[in-house]
Amino acid sequence: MSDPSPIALRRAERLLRWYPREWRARYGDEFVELLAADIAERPERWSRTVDVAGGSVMAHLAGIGLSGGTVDGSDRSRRSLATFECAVVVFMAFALSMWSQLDIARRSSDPTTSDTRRAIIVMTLALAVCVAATVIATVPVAWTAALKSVRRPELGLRRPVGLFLFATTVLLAGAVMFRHGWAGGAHPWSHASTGPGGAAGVLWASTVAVSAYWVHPSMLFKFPISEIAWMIVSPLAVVAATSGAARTLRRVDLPTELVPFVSVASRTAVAGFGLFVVGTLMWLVDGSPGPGETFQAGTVDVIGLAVMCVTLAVAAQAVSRTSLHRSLTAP
Amino acid sequence: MSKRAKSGELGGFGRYAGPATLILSSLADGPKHGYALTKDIEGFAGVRLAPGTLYEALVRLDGQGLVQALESDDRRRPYQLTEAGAAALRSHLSAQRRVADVGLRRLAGSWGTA
Repeated sequence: MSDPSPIALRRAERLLRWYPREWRARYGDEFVELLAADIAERPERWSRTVDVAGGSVMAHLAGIGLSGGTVDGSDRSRRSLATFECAVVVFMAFALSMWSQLDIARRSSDPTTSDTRRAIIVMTLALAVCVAATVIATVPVAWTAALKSVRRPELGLRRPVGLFLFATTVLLAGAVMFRHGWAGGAHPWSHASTGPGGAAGVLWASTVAVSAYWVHPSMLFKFPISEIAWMIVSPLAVVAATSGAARTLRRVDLPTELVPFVSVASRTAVAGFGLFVVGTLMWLVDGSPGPGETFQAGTVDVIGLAVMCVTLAVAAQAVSRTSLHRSLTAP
Repeated sequence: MSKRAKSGELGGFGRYAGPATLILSSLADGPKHGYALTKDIEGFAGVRLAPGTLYEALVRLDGQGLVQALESDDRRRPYQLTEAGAAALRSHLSAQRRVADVGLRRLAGSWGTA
């Protein structure tokens, strides 16, 4: 094997950039050598580019625990769990946005068709399952993380735990503050009751950024500046809380006795997601706008359904990887 | 065979079982780096593994402890078969041979020898 030309090396280094940083640090040099030799022998091969693209996608998926072949195999399950948590957040953002608006609409007027009524019941049951499963999984994991952040400072948990707590506090405080906002009062349901405890209103306010108003700026800019600001701040708070939680999960070794809880709760949550998707489909297929068009599904709901289907697939894959490795505890 | 190797048997490699078998077979007679693996596999199997596929399989084998990277002075890092890798390869090839034997015997019975 002769030394590859500088041109072949440059092309190989360009292809290497498609791989994740962690992979490049471990395999980068040797992979570039092989690629450069291959380029020197067979200069024009589009199939090599496709092959490297496929390999880099698999390396990225492995990096977030959705496929085998990670650089560091010891934390595969923690990666899968962190990815599962991110999928849960995205799914719940769309699901809660959809459900809270339907629930508030239902409180002001009944849907005209039984299909929509059934769809709302299915979605409500599904969310109850998801919330219960999430609480069962989250409370002991959060307690473990909190204890370890105090007792084992070398794990570097304080910053991600602090970020999660701060962002969650901002999200909750803002959601409570804006729970009667109804998008600047311009919304047709702006004066509707939000029901006992205002739960639907709080959930709507925490997911207010999932909105079709973004593509209708003329209507959006009629809202009070505080509500527009909240539509920007709230998703940032969700991203920050998710990031803090994911980083924490990547660093925490769970006690052995917690693993069955986390596994069962994660699978139950995925089942709840599936049920919610079924309920959403029932609502969209029914297509009845209801009184005052309060049950009218829009493009944002179809996009929401597509996003939920993708995140459901990601969550299911992450859960299967978590169960496969069964190494949530320290090696 | 160690517990780790059992979890890393080639049946769990899915679509990478083929490349993984070729890589382990190539390493069975001694350590090789990526380019040497490619040429050796091309020589005995008539298949040229593309770099992305080769490394995808190699990373999985490395993660499962079936191969092990050796120290190297230059950028070409050689890999060697581990004990677990040798056991996994032996088990996989034995199973393949049983299938091949049955297939060849039935072919001979029904279609005669070529």
